[in-house]
Amino acid sequence: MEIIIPTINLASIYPEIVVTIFAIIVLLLHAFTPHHSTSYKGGAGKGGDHLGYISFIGVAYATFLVFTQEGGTEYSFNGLWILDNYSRFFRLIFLLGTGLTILISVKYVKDEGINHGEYYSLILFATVGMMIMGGGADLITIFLGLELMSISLYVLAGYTRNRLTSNESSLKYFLLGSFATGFLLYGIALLYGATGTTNLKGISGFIAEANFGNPILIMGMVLLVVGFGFKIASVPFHMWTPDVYEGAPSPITAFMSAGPKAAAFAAFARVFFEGLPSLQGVWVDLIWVLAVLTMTVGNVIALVQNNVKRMLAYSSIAHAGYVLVAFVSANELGIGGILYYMLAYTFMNIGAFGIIIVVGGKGEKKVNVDDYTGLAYRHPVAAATMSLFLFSLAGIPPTAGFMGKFYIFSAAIKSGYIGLAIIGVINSVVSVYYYLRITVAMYMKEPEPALSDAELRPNLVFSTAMIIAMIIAAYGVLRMGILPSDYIALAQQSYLSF
Amino acid sequence: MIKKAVDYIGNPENSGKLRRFFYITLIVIVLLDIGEHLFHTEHPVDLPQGEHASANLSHKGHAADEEFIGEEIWGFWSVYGFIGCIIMIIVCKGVGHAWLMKKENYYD
Amino acid sequence: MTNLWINPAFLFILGSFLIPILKGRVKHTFLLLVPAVAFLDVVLMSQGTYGAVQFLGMDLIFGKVDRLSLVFAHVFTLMAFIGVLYSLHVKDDGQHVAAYLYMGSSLGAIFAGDYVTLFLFWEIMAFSSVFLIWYRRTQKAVNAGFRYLLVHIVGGLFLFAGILLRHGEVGSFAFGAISPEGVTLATYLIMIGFCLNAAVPPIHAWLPDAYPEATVTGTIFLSVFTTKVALYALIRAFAGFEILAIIGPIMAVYGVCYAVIENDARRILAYHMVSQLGYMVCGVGMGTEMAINGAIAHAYAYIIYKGLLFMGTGAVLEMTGKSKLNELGGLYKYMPITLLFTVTGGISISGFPLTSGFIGKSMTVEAAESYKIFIFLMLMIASIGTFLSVGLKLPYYIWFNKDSGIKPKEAPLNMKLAMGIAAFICYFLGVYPKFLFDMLPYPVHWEPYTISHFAEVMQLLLFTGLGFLLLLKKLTPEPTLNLDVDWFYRKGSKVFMWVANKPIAIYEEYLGEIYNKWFTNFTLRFSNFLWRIFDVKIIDGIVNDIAGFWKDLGGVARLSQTGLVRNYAFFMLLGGILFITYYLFK
Repeated sequence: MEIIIPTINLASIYPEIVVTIFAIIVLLLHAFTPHHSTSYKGGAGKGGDHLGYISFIGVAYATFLVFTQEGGTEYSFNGLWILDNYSRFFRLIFLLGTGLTILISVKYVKDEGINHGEYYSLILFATVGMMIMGGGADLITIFLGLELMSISLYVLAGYTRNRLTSNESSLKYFLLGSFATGFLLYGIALLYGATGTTNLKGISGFIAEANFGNPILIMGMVLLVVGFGFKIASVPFHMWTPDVYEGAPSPITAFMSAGPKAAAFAAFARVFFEGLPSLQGVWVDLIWVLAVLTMTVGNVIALVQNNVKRMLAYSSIAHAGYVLVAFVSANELGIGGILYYMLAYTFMNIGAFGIIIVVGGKGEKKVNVDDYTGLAYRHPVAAATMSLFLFSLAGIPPTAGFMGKFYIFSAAIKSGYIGLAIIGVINSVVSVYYYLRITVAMYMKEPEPALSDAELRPNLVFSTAMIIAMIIAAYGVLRMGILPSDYIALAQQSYLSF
Repeated sequence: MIKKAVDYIGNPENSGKLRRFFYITLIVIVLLDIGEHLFHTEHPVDLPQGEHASANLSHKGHAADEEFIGEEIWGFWSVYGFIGCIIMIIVCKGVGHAWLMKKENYYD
Repeated sequence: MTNLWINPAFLFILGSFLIPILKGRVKHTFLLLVPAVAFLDVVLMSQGTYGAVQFLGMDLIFGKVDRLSLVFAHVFTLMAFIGVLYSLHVKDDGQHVAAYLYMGSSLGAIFAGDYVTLFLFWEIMAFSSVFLIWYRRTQKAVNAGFRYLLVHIVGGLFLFAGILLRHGEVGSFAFGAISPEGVTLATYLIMIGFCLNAAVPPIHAWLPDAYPEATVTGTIFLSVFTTKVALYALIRAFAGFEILAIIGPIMAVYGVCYAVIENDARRILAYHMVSQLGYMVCGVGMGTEMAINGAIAHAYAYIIYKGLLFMGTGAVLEMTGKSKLNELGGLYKYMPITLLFTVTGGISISGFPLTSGFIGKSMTVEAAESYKIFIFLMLMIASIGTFLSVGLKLPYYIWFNKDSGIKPKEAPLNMKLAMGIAAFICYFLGVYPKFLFDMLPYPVHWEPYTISHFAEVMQLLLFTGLGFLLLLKKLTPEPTLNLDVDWFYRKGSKVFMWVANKPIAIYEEYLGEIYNKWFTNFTLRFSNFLWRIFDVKIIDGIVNDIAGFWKDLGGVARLSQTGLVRNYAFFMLLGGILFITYYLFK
């Protein structure tokens, strides 16, 4: 038996505390700021940018705290909480995703008249939820984090209240999310029933000793796969994704596809690698099937989409599939691959959504591939940036996406899953088509000659925050693509402490 | 100057002259080949980088006893070129018309 | 010499970033300066291994410099200069950037000492070159570009799989000669990857499909790099694989056959590339010193004269907007200089004496004579077709024949200059072959200028000319599209997109119907029933208020309840049940 030291080590949750405090500050600040009432009317919100920047400062501060935390593995709160390189790395991904989301939201929320404290507050609470999922060493902790994150997201998905698609998105997400939560909770209950504990270490210890053929255990495990499968949007639990991503406000879509997905992977991997490693022979087939289905269905359906948001939604399903490939590999490279890929994905996906927001304009009216026609003529920098993100998503060197895929497929090959790697690479070939469609529209098609220059120009407005976000994202994509070694080293370290 | 030369060649009035010139060239080149076969002048091989002619290489750079039979026949390449050209045109165009050639908007 | 080694690839790749910033004359100077510096860099380069890097536990070598890579780098940088000069008038920065990246990655691939580096540059080549096609900005070019790209990615996939499997077998990524004995699946996968880029039938169709659709200047670059890098890779890894010696002549004949019936001038040249590559692939397959020398000498000469031909037809396309032979004719009065240069390319490619073809191509052909006679004869047939289609048909129908009524101006100065330089090199190599022979990896024991060789080539070509004269009527170009193996994926992709589109549409429709039949009807009846009760019992005012509320909510509910949420949930449940059943009955 391991000795549980009943400590309440607050130092291990400083970043979480900071984010929580800032979430509350933003909420209150808005309540006590004089001009807030105008923005509730749904008209053009005139509120300042300060809410966004304050939230950003909170995220930045939390990031700083994560960096200053000492290395090594440390359990606290009666074994409910773990602080190791793995959770540290994931926290950085979450905070990065949140920070970028806040930056790309600043102008958006004003345009849409939703510049409220709640908006940022909910994002921050969702972030806390994710961080708890990353740091939970107990099924209950993970579940709490998941719920905190999910509930915040349900609200955020419907945040543009006067748009029906947004409401629809929220409602659907909520209904199906609750359903999935049911699965997850049921799975947890079964695991508890079979092993008598919800602690991951305890569970793995129990299974290692006892005979693991227990059907209750297996069922619990399967239900967990279903529950997590929903959160990472894997096929066949993906069907909410396109509708929700299309309907939700664009910054939230960007947010959902990066952070929460990474959080789900963080918890998924931790539960399965730390809690159920002895069952690996059992669940690996299941994940294999999930990975193949997810990649293939995501890519094939993305091929025929004309709405860019919806296309990226399907593509995000496909990307979850690639990460599942790394998951199947289940070796050192594999876990490193998950980390590396999620980081890369955060950069490139939020980056792409940033441009989508700018192009979409007020009310997100321009979200079809055709709306990108001739963009390179009017806004060469925006088009080039978008192309960079799309190249990365397609996995074209020298970008982060390429290195990520390279990493994942190498991991699969090292573990002997050659077939899986080949299916993955074929999928990635298919995906090139729909990503580059946008690039082609931007570069290779002339804009309508009838429109004068003045009519074309004012289309895109980049706020300072957006520019900063794009620079960060572009830097990340290139940095991880051209000089990946130190990121790879970081990702591999994070595995070693596991 | 170039323009003048090209204009001269392109002018349909001169085509007869050009044609005659071409036929004369044909005859000359066949005669040259026949002469080559009759006198069979073996040329010393120019070997760069100071290599010595160790193998019994012919001027073709391969063993002399493997000489292709066509090389021994007078005017073989004339016939080969002529027949080959005719056959190629007829076969390619024939197959093209029978099968390969489609309307330009075939894939649209 | 010194240990300082500058990778010419990086000169181009870094240079490409500066292009959008520069303007006017400075830009023009810069565009020309980079290839010039790279050329000097290559000329001054000494052999050795440079730029070794450790990455993810792999040893990457960016600079494997030997005679083989040097001769390719030599002609690449030379042609880069000519190509950039030719495209100097292009205002679109993107085209220059794409060309630079493309050239840079090609050079990077040439100097790669391991498969990983090779693959990296290989992929960048594919992705940068496709932009040279897309920049034509026609719908046809966009589609052709996508096909080109996807085919290349698939080729890259084969290569990638081969590299990984090979790593599993030999435990290293080192890129070097593979022995023809004991070949495994990995070897074949790598070979397929290379052969795809070398346009070996039946995986050649991307070339004649895409190259003619590229921009005028883009085609020049395209014609040089992709296929020659592949050839280089084949020489490096697969010298002496007999299968290549057999495929080569088939390629050579296959290509010219299409060139004979093709109508588009640039597509003739593209098919012709397949044919010429056939000679080189054949040389690689024979693997003797002379054959390898021949393949390389041919490649060197070929890059210049094929570039020249594409430049000539490109100039016509640029000035007239047309490249189809049946729409052209009688241009000799208007573009005589372009004619001269194009014919120079045409006679070089046919191998007339005093041109580079005579000393380049012939070496491979001679090597074939002592290898297998039927290969030799097939290559001779291909020579006939070459002269017929490129040396005679192409110039005749563009510049002579009937007058098409087009009165274009002569090409701009930079184009003429570029063509002039290329034409000069064609003659220079023909007159002074030692320049090229001294660069080849093996010593050359062959003298091109003998009477018998001269008589052989001249007879073959001139009598081809006779055949052409006699059958001129038969050859008249026809505005058609010629089927090739790209049929499979051009038709196949349609089927695929249909599958991706239709079943989904059907599925959604089907669900909608089920929903309408069962759920909506039921709800309607139920609410009807409720409505009757409420209507009787509750005061109108309240009803109206509430109705408003319900209507709004219904709007939302209708959207979210297109029947799909239930279906989504149903599918989730189904998935879960399936998974559980799988384990219960396993």
